[in-house]
Amino acid sequence: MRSATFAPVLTALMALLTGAPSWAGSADRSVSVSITLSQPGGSGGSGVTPVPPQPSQPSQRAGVCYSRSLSEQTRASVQVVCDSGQFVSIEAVPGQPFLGVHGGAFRYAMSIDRDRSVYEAAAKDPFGWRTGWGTVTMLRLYDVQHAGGPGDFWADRPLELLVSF
Amino acid sequence: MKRILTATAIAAALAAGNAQAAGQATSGFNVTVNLTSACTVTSPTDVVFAYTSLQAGGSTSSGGTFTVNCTTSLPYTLALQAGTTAPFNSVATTIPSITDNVVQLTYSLALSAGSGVGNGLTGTGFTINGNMIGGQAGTCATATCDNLTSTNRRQTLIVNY
Repeated sequence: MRSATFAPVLTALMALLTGAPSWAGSADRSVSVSITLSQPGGSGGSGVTPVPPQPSQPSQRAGVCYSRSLSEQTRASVQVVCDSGQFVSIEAVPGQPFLGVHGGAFRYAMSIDRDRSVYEAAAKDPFGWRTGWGTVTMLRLYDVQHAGGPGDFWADRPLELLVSF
Repeated sequence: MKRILTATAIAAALAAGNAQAAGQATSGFNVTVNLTSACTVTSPTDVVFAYTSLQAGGSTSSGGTFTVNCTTSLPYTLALQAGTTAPFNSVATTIPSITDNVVQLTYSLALSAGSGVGNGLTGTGFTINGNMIGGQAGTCATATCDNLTSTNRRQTLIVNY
């Protein structure tokens, strides 16, 4: 009767021993995970390197991109790329010399079509200037979004692009 | 006469030598070797990520290599465990998600293989592969940051045998 009582216990014990891990030992090592996080547009990014502002120029402001590397050159083609994505290219009218002087025949081309309406709205002479394709040397772009508070009307905060040769 | 004396002397010397091998007894014996199996593992090189905030695609790690040397024919398994706190009882070959507490980027780790068989001094190489999905912003107040001050950047590799 006792053996009958022990039999299930013994069976269970054997099962436990059989199921137990058979590892004779273990070894462990720690491993470090190193992460370098870069900001977009930084040196680790890809694409066109933005033209950095030149501190020596007193007229420069934050958020305005400048490229003067081709100043006073004829037939120049200038491309300005900003961190924030604004973009304008300036090139001579096809078949005509690029005069490179104030009042020359310039053509301004916006890279993003959705901005064209903004440009055209500004080109309708909001401040008495006659701005249009290929006729101006200074152009004001307006951010029509995020106009939320007093004094935040889009015309009150132009993003000014000054092109001078 | 002199030659005869010399030959007699040599024969006497040979006879004297043979007289010492009157019998022989042999006994075989056993050499008992008790071998305790063991494994060693090298410290893995750092698992290194280079990530640009908000990048579209995922990022895979470099490094994370190590070598296991075990007694020949001894099977062993590998496991990863988050953190460095004992007991090291994990049997998982992956750590599905860890968010670094400095740069706030989430990554996963996985072993190149979960088991092996010992091959002695030759050793077997493995890799801890890391993956970081794209679209993460992370936390960084400057142009670039690292996680050297992170308190959860160290994980544990376990070899069971």
